[in-house]
Amino acid sequence: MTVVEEALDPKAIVVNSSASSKDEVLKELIHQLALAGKVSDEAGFLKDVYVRESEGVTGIGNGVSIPHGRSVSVAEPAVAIATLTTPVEWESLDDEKISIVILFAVTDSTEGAQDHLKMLSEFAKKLGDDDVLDSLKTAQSVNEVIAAFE
Amino acid sequence: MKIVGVCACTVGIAHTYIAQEKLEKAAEKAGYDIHLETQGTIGTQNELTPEDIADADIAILAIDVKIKGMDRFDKITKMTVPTDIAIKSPNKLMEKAAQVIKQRQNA
Repeated sequence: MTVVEEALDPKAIVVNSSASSKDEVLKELIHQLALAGKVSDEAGFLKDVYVRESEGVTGIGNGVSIPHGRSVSVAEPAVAIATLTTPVEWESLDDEKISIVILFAVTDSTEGAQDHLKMLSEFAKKLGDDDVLDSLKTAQSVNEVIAAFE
Repeated sequence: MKIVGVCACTVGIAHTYIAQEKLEKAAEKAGYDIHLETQGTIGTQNELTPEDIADADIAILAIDVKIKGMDRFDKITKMTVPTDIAIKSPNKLMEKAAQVIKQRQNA
């Protein structure tokens, strides 16, 4: 399996979400992660994501945000992605609204999770590549979202 | 120009590696050599050797937290910025690094 296939569970990818706020999209993605078996307690993980949000801006510019939380409510490290039909307000480095949300779920303990965490870091690195972000923005299906990273 | 550096963010899962990629891309575009160490949740990767640091013209530390081995950079010209700056303005950071080196050479 490639890093991308390993990191991205199709269940945790939402294309053209109609979420109309930061809170809505976070809840939607966390719910998808729970369905995929990656998050055990949705409310608990949401709280930990907001803890990280309070520590600094997660909008990395260009309409993309990378909320993340380290939490006991995460069963297995994972990534969830939403593309939004309407950009939402979100604290970002360039003050632009956000149309792509990439949520990182990180386990509280790194024990036994090293491989997954390494996979997440390799995945994060791809988000530093503007070509990847451009492809992501035009993706219209789950397969196109996955293809954007390959 | 030869650049070394370290990326490290608070959670150590996302910003660290995005900053690394942005800086590597910007350095490549500007025609500079770059070697970045990352200190994240999974530990230190791409670790710098004393020789790497001794050979470099400048160190760019894109860090939000205290890093291991900060004293390794005591004897080298360095720029310290938050990871946010590395992610937002990597090209400007390269220009700034070039300026700093030039000023030092003229001094």
